[in-house]
Amino acid sequence: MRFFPQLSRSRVFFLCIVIIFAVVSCGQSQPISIETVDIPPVPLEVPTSVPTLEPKLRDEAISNNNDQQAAAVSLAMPAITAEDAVSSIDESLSGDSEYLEIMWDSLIPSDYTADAIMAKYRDRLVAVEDGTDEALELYDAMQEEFNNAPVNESLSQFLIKIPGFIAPLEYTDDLITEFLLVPYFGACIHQPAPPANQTILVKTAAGQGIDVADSYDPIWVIGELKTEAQTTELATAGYNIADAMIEKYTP
Amino acid sequence: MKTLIRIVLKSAWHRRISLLFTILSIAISVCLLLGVDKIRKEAKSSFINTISQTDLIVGARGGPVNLLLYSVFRIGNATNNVTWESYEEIVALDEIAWSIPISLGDSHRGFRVMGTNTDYFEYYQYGQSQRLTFAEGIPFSEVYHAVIGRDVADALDYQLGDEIIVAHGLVSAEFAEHDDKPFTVTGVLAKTGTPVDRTVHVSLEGIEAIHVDWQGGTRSAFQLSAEQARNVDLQPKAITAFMVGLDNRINTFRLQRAITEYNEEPLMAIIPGATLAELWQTIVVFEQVLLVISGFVLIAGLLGMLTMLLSTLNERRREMAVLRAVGAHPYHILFLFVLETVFIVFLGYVIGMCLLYSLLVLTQPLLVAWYGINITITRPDAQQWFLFAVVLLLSVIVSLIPGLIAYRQSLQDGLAVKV
Repeated sequence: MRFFPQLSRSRVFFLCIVIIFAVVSCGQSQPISIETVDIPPVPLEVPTSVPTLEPKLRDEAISNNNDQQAAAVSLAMPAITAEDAVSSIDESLSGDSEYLEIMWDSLIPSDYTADAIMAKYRDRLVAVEDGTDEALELYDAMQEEFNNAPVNESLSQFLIKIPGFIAPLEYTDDLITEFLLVPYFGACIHQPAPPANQTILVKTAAGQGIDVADSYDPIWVIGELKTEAQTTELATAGYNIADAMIEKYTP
Repeated sequence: MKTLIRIVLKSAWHRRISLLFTILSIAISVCLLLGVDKIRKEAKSSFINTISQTDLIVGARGGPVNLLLYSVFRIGNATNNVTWESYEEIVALDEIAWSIPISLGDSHRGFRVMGTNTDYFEYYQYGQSQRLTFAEGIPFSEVYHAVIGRDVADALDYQLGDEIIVAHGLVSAEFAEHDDKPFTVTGVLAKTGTPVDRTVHVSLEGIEAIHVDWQGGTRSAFQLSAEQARNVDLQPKAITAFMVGLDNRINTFRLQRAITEYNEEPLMAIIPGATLAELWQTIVVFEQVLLVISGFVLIAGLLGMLTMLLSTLNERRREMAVLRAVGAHPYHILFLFVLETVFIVFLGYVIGMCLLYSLLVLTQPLLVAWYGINITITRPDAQQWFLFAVVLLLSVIVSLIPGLIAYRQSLQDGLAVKV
């Protein structure tokens, strides 16, 4: 305090104004909504990120639908071999360990990916001319198959971490606690509507939720994926995650 | 320390009149800031809690927010109707578990009249999946029965068995009333805190009956009595909108797409949760502007206090000199100013909060009766206590300005004050 008299009055005044502004601006930045990161939505069209598998593995995959090995191969993670996949399943089921970070392509079963459907229809497509009604019918049929593709059972009960945009359904105490997770923004508006296997019904864990102001922003959803092929008394068909944790999306 | 506080209090008491007004100005600005914050939170809650567990709302094609506003909040009007054939065809789809048709357009003394069927009382949910319950009476079972919301019953003092006249259109006028076909109140719904409280519910057949002899919006030449209208075929030909619940919520997008592309009629389906978020996103800008304005009002209050302290600084130089003479250090003088300012702001904040709560208690019944806005009076939450701490900190910083000036002056003056 001894050197204060040497500071001129105007300098002290200036310092105080600066301090006030600093405190006020810190206080005002409390209610943070995440910075809008310019993230291009994960595309729904032909998933080019599906790994180009060697033909031998691919044929094995298509023929061994229920095989664990096929399951590992159908995930969009070329680095994971069958053994790795099995061990990571064991790891993730054994309590609090790494979540499997997946992208939306993995939710499509291996014989219903765009490539696989193309392969199925290839002979018929070759026989038809482009632009004719028959060709259009074929494309419609392929689109139908893609849209009505079943869920990927091999992901059942995996602990996953997946990014996406939300369509809010239910609110609890001003937070969005139940929503549909979709690969791209504006699923309500865009053509076509995402097929059932590109939609996840998410219920957040207690205390978790998304603020209405952040409802347009992409998020990470972390939780156990439940896949149901058919609607039963206990569960509805499709992908479900209950007790999900939510994180703001950062790439 | 104790003596210092006593000196601060006595000095403040000596200047109590100007301090009183300073405290009042801070109290009012705090009341404004907390009031805006409270109303913002209440409005958001009541908006969000209006509807729950409804997967799609379907109406004539137009704007999604408009559909949400008139079907759920009873604000605004539909652009067109939905034919009964389209309604039946769509709800016949496998994916749909239940549906509620609604018909809007009439009013009763400022409250909107909604035609629906008993599925409404069974399937409509709000808040946290809460169903509608009856405070008194039963749902309608006959053409001329009506079920009213709590606010309607309270505002117009209706009991079970009272007769009400429905007016055509949204504003009551005697020449536009269906006064030959009165409705009997058979039920009163329990309070929900949503626009349901402000609605008069009648059956779809009731809406048809009162319009059976109205052509083009006015009475036709051929009048049918209430009894005659009852016996006419009252199957509705069109409704305003309908709400739909699905077996599996994952099918929501597919069904929404199917309804939007429905060939027979231009229809539109919205997901209420998503459209609510869209509506709130547009409002959130205004709420933030309101908060910033209130923040500025508070800063204006604090600066007013600063002005008051600085202007009286000169007069208090002798007071400071006397204190120095009895052994106060210069930093005691600084501390004196800080304490006094914190005391003023603390008192102002507390008075502001009391002012706000008394205002809320007074206006709560009025707001419900006039605007249907339900305000719950709760204790301050963590965010408001944090605001309290920030305001006190600001006051400390503000007090440093006169404090440091006084500190310097007391060093210069010594005992001989040249005023």
